[in-house]
Amino acid sequence: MDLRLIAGEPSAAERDAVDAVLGPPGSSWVGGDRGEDAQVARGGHAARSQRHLLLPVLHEVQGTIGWISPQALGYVCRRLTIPPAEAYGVASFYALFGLEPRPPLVAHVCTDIACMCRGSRPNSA
Amino acid sequence: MFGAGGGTSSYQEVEETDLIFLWGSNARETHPIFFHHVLKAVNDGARLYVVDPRRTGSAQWADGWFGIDVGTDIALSNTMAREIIHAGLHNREFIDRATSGFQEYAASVEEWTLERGARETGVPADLIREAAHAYANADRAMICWTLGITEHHNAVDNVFCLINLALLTGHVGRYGSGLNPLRGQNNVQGGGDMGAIPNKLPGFQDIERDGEARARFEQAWGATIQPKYGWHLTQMFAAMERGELRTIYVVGENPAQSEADAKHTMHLLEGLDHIVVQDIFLTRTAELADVVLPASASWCEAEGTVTNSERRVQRVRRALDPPGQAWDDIEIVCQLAARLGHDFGSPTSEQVWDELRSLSPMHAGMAYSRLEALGGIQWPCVDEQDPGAQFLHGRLWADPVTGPPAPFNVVEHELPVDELDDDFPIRLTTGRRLESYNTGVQSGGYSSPLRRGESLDLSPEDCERLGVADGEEVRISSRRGSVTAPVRIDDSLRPGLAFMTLHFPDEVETNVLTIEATDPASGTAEFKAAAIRVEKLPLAQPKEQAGGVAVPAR
Repeated sequence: MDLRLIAGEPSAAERDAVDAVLGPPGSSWVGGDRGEDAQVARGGHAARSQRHLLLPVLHEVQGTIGWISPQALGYVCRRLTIPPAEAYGVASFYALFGLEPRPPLVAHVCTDIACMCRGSRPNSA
Repeated sequence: MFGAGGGTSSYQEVEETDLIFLWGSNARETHPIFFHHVLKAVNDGARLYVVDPRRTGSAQWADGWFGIDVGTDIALSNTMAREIIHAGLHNREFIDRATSGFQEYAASVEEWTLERGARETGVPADLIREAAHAYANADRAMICWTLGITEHHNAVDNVFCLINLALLTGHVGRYGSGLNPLRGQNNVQGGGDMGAIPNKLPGFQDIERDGEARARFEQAWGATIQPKYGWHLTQMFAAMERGELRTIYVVGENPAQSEADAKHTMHLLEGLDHIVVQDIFLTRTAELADVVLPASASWCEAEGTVTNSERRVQRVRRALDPPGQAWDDIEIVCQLAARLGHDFGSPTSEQVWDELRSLSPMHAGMAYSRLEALGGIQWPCVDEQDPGAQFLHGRLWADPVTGPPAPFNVVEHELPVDELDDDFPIRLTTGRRLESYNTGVQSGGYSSPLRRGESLDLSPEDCERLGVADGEEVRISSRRGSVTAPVRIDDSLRPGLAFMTLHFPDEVETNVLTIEATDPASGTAEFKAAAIRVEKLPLAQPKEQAGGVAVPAR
C-alpha cells in the first residue's frame, strides 16, 4: 500500500461538501490554508480511523456537486489518508456515483421485475 | 553504539514494536524496503512520528510530523528529555542499574523547557510534549535515523542525543525497543564489519587500543600492523591539501561527484600524482584515473556475503561471469599483491571468509553452510552452535548487568555552520529520491518513469515572491559557488526551505553549493544545511537575426 495523492485542488464547493462531513481540515497539509502550521501535522491513525466516513463523504460530494471529480476524490484521500486507488475502487463500484460530469438532473429507472410489474417499462422507453 | 557499529534491532521487531520515530529519515523513498516493515507495524497499530524539515512521503503516514528547522535535532531531543524527566516518566530502575552520567545529563537538559524547545525547533510545544509522553510510555519503542542526523557538522552529537532518549526510557536492549541507523546500500553495514573504516580491524576490533586483536592479525598475516588510526575520507582530502597524500586507490566510490564543495574536490584530485580506480562503471573519478581496474558487480558476478541493516550476514552467489576485462574483486586484490611482491595465492571467497571467521570473534560461528541453512545470521555469532543475535545490548537488562554501564552523553545544541543572512536567506537541504541513487552512477543507466532530472524544489510562497514559474531556470548561489537549475514548485516545503538531490551531477552540480563543514569524529560533511540565494535569470537575449554580423566565438 502506498500513498501517492492526486495533484490538483478541489473547487470551493467540493471542499465545502467534504468539510461538511469531516469538519474543517486540521492543518494546511490536509487542505487548510498554508500558513502558521507549516512545521507540524497530525494524521496517521487519527485520520485513518475516519475511514468509515468515506461513503458518507462521497454521497455528500455526489449530492451537492452532481459528480465526483478527481480533485474532489484527491481531497477526500488527503483528509482520510486513504490511497487514491482504494477510494477510486469504492467510488467506481457504485453506479450511482458519477466519476464524470453528469447532467444536473439524472432519472434512474429500475428494470427489476417488481418495478416492471408496477409499470416501470413505459418510462424506460 | 556502545562499542558495536550496527543497529540494535531486527526487522521483525520493527514490525512488532508499538512506536517508531523516523528521525532525519525519509525511509519511504530512501529505504523503501525498510519502510515496508514500518508500514506493517503501522497497520498493526504502531504509532509513527517523523522528524524531518520536509513533509515527505514518510511524514504523510505519521501520527505526528515534526517539521523542525534544519539542524535543531538536539534541541528537540533535549526538550523531550526534560519533559520526560519532569513528568517522572524516565525509567529510574534502568538508569540506576545500567547507565552512567544521568545526573550531568539531567542537569544539562534542564534549561530546555517546552517553550524554549518550541522556539528553537519551530515545532509546537504540545506536539513535543505528546511525543515525549508517547515514547516514554510505550511498551516497545524504537528510534530509526538516517542522513538527516549524520550529514551535519555535529553528526556524532546528533546520534548521542537519540541514544540519550533511549537510555532515559530504557528503550534499548529489549525485544522491540532499539536504536537503528538505516543503511543506504545493501552492504554498508558489511563494509564496516569487514574493517573498511580507518580505526577498526574486521569485527570492530580497535586498531590502536586492542593490542591482543592486532597481534592475532599480525600472526595470521605475517605482517606488522601500525597501532595507529588511518584517515577517513575527509582527513584524506585534508592530507591532499597539505600535500601529504599523493596517491589514492579508490574502490567503488565516486568522490569526484559525491563530496561537498565539489569544485575544491576536483582541484585536489587533479593535483594528485597517481589515481587508481576499481569500479564497475567509468565514473567521473575513474575518468581522472591513471589506472582503471574494471571490477565485477558484487550482487550477481561475485561470490561472497553482504550484511544488512539488521546485522544479518547473507550469502551472495555468482550468477553471471563478469563481462570483458572485468575481474572479481578478490582476484584483483590478489593479483595486485603478487605484482607488489606478496603471494596471496588465489583463494576462493569461502577461504577468505574462513580466515575472517578465525580473526573476528563476532563472525566466528558463520560458516557458509550455516549461512545457507539459516538464511543468514545476525552478528554477533561466536561459535557454530550460536543462532546469532536478534537484538543487541540485552546485557543491559541482565541481573546483574554485565559489562560497563551505557553512558549518557551531554550534548549542546548548535545551529548549522552555514548561517542564513540577508545575502543567503534560504536553507538548502539535500537528499535522495526513490528512483535514483546518490551520484547516479548505479541508477542513471536505467530509465524510470519517476525520474525527472535535477531541480531546485521551492515552496509555492518562495516561487511567488521570486516571481518564478514551475520549470523556470534560476541561478542558485551559496558562499562557495553557483549553479543554475530549473525550479520545481513543491508544496511539501515551507517558505525558506529548498531541496535538491545529488543524483544528476552532470546536469547540476549540487555539491558546488554544499559546505565542507565536517564532524571531527565521523568526518561527514554538513550536506543537509547550506545557505543559498535564488535569483531569477535575466530573460534570454533574442538570437541574432539571420544576416546579422556574426561575432566569432572566443
